[in-house]
Amino acid sequence: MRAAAAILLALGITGCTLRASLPPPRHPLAATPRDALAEPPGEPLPDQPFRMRLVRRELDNGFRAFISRGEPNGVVSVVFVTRATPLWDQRAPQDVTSLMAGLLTRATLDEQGEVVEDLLQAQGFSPEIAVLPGGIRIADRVLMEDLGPYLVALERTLRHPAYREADLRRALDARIELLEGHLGGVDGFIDDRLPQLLYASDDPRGAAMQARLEVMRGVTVETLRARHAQLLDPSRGALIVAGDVEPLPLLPVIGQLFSAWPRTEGQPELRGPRYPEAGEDRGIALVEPLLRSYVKVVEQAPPITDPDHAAFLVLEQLLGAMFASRLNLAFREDARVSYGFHAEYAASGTEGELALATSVEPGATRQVVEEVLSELRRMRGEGEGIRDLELSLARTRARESLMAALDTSQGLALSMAQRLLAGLEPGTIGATLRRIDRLSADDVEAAAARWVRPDRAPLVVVGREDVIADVLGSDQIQLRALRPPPRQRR
Amino acid sequence: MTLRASLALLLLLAPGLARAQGVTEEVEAGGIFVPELEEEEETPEPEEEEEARRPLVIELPPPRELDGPIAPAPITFTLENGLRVMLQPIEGRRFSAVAMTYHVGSADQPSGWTGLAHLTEHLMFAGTDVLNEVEVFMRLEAAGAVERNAETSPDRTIYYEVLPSAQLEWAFWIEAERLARMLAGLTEARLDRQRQIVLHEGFERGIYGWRGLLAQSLFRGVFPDGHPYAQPVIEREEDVRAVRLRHVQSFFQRHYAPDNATLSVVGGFDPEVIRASIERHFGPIRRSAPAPDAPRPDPVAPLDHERQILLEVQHDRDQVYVAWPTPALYAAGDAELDVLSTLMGRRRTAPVRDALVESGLALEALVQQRSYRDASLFTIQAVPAPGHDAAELVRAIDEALARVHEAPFDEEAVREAREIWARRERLRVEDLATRAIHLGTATDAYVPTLENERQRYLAVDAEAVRRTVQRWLPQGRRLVMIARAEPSGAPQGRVILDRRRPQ
Repeated sequence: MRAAAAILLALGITGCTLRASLPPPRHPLAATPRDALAEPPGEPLPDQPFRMRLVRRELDNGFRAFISRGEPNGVVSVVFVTRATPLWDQRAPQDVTSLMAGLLTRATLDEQGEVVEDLLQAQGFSPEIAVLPGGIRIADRVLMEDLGPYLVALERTLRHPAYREADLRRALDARIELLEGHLGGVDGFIDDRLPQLLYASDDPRGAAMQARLEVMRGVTVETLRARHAQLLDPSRGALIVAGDVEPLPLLPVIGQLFSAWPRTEGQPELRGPRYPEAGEDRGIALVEPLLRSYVKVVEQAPPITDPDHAAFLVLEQLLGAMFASRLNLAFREDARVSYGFHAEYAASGTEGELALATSVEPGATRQVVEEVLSELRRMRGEGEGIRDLELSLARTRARESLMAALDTSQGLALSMAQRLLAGLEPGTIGATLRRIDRLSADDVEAAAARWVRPDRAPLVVVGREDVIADVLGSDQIQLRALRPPPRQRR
Repeated sequence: MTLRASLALLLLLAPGLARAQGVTEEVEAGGIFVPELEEEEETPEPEEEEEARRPLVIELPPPRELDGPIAPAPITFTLENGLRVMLQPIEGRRFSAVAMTYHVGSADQPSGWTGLAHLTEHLMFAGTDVLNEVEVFMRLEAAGAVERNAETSPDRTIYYEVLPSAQLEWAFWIEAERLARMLAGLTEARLDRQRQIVLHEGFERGIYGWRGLLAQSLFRGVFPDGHPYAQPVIEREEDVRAVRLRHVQSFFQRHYAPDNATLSVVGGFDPEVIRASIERHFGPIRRSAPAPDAPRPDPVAPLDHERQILLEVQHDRDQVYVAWPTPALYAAGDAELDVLSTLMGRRRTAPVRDALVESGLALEALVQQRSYRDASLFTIQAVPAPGHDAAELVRAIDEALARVHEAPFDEEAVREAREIWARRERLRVEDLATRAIHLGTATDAYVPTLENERQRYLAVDAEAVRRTVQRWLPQGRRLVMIARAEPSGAPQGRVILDRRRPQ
């Protein structure tokens, strides 16, 4: 037996897997001596301050244009935004708005009233349409010589869509089918339940997907046309052009294109979210036969207009957007129970959300949840609070992430769009940057104390039956256990 | 488990990180670097205000002519130790991207050692003899890196960073340090830690489950036996667990050498200053022994059979793949197949999209040329709509392809599609990381600058597309792979059928 084992080993056979022997190396171990290598860098190289040159104009109908001249590289970024998208004005309105926006570029009426299919795409453009809590955004990058044709096609697309029954049915069928499939899985279950936990029961942000599906099934072409008339109003719209463009010759063109757009009346205002009263059930444990456990926490967070916005950009880094976040180090490097811990802060003009998530080894689930809640308490200044070094790292990351976005025409245009959708001036980006650099640990802790509520944070844990039983045994975690129906083949 | 240990780790690093943190401290002190955002309002001259009120005439001034290529050719040089360097300075950019490309990937793993390339990639973040296990990431973050990551593909392992140009030297120092001294700091403990993290990544991404089986089956079904891409390039859990220190040492010593790497830097920097810095950091790294002969595989040929693979996957929807082996990245035919993917799948009237999605047979359809160093795959993948099955989709794909064979695309359609690809190259001019990573794929024969790539696509015409379809997408001789959904099936999935039918 011993001889057989030796033969197997010699052949590189371990277990049932046949493994080839490795080819020989090329150079000896640690070939370059330590003292031959350069020292770590000292002083940084000279830096370039960032300057944004911005030209703006407001037309008589309230439509605004912002033009920023950038690098002479032949590329121009164009972003159209319209504010006051009443995402939350009724049950499931986001789906109606999303359908309306999705079909906006599908078919357009030309000057003779004929339908033109895919007007922008047919000219080789690739507009990206996003429905955001603060409005609708259409973004694209075009070559400088295509800017004129693009603006003409964009204006036509925005103002003269041809909503058609067949397009709507096809889009609806696919959307409902995909959404129902999504709801049948764990991700869909979490996506459905977390907003219900985060927002008050009478806030449409927390509408259950089943209710949304019912609304979607009743959508007609007339619904889309009404939504279009309601949302695409020049006084709520803005065009941002950034990149290789001369601003002054472009201004009259934008004026000619968009000044004929009539202003409408009675735009609904955006409303901030309503949160649940204290004492309501905030956590769910899902029993699923999975190889891993999943933990997700979603917290209330300030809107971009709030003075705490800059502090939350730093808090996002501290909690998991940077490698050096303590939770990431604890779970990934120390305990080795996870690939990583992630934090993401998203904010619009009316609201914000801070999402924390990870997947972990089943046996570590309870400890991970407890550590996450404990870390949220530390961010509020409880216990040892935020350390200077981690704050310094987080501020650097938060600031450079914003600065990196401003380094390209696309990033600059999207950053400006985010501000405009929130009702802010583009120049407020600079104020946020300066605020980040001035933040102390006390400032961040105070902001966290105003928004973060570890004892009430909406929390979802998904895992095996024994894992969930263990989590439910914790006196720090209040959860309601659910067993979703088994996933069906579609 | 406790946070105390990670806090201790942070404090341990404090002195070193404080150096890299100089930027922040200077800002706080009101010092050298102030990231001001200055808004300059340019109020239009009165005559331009008038101009804005004139009747509608949509006319922009003629755009500035492109004077020459999109971007100048990169500055290219080779250090004495064989490291190839490509510098692409861009005036006015505050950030830069660094890509260190090692020309080794999962296809270079000896049989039975899947995961070795990926594990080695992770160990490159696990320190050296002077950097501990978290310092690589943390020093880069302290220097303001907004991207710092790595990718292992079948052909390459790429380490990349995007950071303020003023801090570029930190990226050079880290890259040089880990190339020269990773092995000097490698211990069983570091290997075990990174192995665990790799396994977590694999579980999180589903690589060890049916998704890995599906990806591996696609490669195995398209490429001939013995081809590097036909052997397992998707890592397996048991292989990752079997790796020992000596295996990593051997793999690293064979492939991680200056003359098997390309360093590319794209962004806002002074090329003379950066060249000197690169020479200072990378120049002392010793040249390796002569590279062993590693013959590349012969170019692939079209299949002479139909391969049928049926899988069962723990999912709720069936998936259909029809695929062909195609020419390698940058080889003749590669650009034509990119353009063809647009012709077949982009517009609503495109044959595959029309036959699958617009007809209501499929919820989604994707046509793609996936290009790799030694060969590529052309794939059509689709998800059946409710009430339709995988077999219907395969028939519809066959019929669409038959129409493409019988009635080739005309010159106007090809012109439109190739313009999309050529335009894409020009639009990438701002994408620092993409450009740096792309330069890392340069060969002795071809440097994929934006301009060269643009010209490669502009050279595609209708006749070339027709010939490419005839040669590389033969009807019947292809892989048909169906992943049948079974929500209560095994997490790893299983192969139900795998057979060849000679044509």
